[in-house]
Amino acid sequence: MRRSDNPADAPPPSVAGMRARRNVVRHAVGSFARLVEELAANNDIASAPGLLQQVDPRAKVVGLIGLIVVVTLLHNIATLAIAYTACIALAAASRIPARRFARAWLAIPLFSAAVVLPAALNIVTPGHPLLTLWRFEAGHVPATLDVTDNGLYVAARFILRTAVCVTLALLLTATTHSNRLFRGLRALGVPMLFVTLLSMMERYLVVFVRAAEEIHLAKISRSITVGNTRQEQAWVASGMGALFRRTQSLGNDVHLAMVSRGYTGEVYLLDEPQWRVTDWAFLLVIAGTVIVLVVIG
Amino acid sequence: MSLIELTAVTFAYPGHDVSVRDVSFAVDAGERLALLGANGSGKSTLLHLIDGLYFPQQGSISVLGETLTEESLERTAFGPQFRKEVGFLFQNSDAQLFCGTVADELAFAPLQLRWPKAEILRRIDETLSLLEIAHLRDRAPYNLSGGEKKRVALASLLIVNPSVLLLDEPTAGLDPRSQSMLLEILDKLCASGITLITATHDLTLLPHLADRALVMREDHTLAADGATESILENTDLLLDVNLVHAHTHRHGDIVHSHPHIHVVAHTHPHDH
Repeated sequence: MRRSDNPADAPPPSVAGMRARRNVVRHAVGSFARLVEELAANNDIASAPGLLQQVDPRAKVVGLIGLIVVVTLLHNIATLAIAYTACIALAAASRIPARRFARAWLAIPLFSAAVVLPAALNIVTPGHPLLTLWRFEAGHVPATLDVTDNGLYVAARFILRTAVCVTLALLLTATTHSNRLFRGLRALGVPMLFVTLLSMMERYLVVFVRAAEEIHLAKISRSITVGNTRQEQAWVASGMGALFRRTQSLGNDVHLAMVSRGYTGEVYLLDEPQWRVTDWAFLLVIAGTVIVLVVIG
Repeated sequence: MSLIELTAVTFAYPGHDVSVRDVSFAVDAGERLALLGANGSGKSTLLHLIDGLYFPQQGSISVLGETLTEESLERTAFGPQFRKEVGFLFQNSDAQLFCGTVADELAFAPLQLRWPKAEILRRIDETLSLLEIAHLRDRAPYNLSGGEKKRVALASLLIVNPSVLLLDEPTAGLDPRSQSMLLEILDKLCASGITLITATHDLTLLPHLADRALVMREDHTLAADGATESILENTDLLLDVNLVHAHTHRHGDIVHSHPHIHVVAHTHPHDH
């Protein structure tokens, strides 16, 4: 039998169910709102006086992305630990608040440990057993499920390598205005059109997150009871539709505004200033670091 | 010869009813003209047509002595000249501010016109100072207030020294201080000889924005063309085009109705 769409016919939802549904939507909208705040906070850090903030974005993009590539090739855990310490020192010299990194530093070990856990076991990485987790029935090969010394080394190396790479990426994004960061990609040969699209995407992401928040708040302000799952799903779908219509309308207006100011299909950007001595010095230090890492690595 | 001339212009957006029907008027250089009308009467569409963003199905529009067509705007000589001389301030500043920073926003039109970089940087500083927003130079548009966005949007037009400004509801959504600041800027621009064409339904600001007004009917035709003062005094016309409403109220036992114009504080005799 088909369920009725009439709210009056719907069975009363449980309080826990209502809260859960309401929380999912609120959580999603809240997450997007936090993203917007983070974007603004990132630009505040990028404007603060600090070591990496003084370096041209092009030099940072080339240098730090180059470092990330080299770090992924390192095998020596001691070298990775030194690199990680250096990253933290760099973050401190750039006056990046620890809370900016805290979430990444907490999440990296948890997520990478979950991914790499099987590699610590003797069934994947043979070695000297350090901890026996399970004893199989007689005749099973292997007889036990152990955490091995080699496995632990591989897991630690993976977690540390991930931590260094993520910290380097955070150093790049936290110390560079998003707009200048996108332009820095030009140094890697990324086409102008792509850079412009990235910049506009970031620009309008904020507008649409605010629009989504408004739609959600307008709904809450007119809601007396929470409907059943089907009605809530219908509301979410119609909200997405409304947002899509706004996107389409704004997209059309943006195009007209571009044409009105002379856009004919080609995008031009103001060039970044000439590279300074500090930028070359930064790249030299990075090149030296890369050589040392590769030699001891 | 007039700076802008519309002759029997009729236009409909694809798949929609007519938005502008058989409209003709001319605008001379340095004029302050207002396009008045209720919502949906076709004011904004007229601005889009004058800016060469859409083209009429019937009639013609000429600006700076050239008839606006897709071909004429794609011609290298006239197209860039037209885009430099005519600036369009959109009602929604978010549509107009599509770059990553305020400086990039201002640089957009000069870069399209292939101006030298040194000249662009000089003009950016000059224009930001003129509008007293030099402190916003490196800010992202999404972090600005409504009034700041409007000034940045205006700066992004003024940087190329246009001779015509098309303003679509320029004061909509602005707080009183931002409104007053914007009107002061527009006053200065007008004194410098720039032609202003403003689409609005805000009668309170009309005397500050225009000396001449064109009134659009809700059937998208032109209802009147005259001096701002005479248009504002023509209550029957304003009632007819839905720019004012009949205000019904009670004085003791007597209920009566009169047109309600929100231009200035008004008084009226009560014979009871």
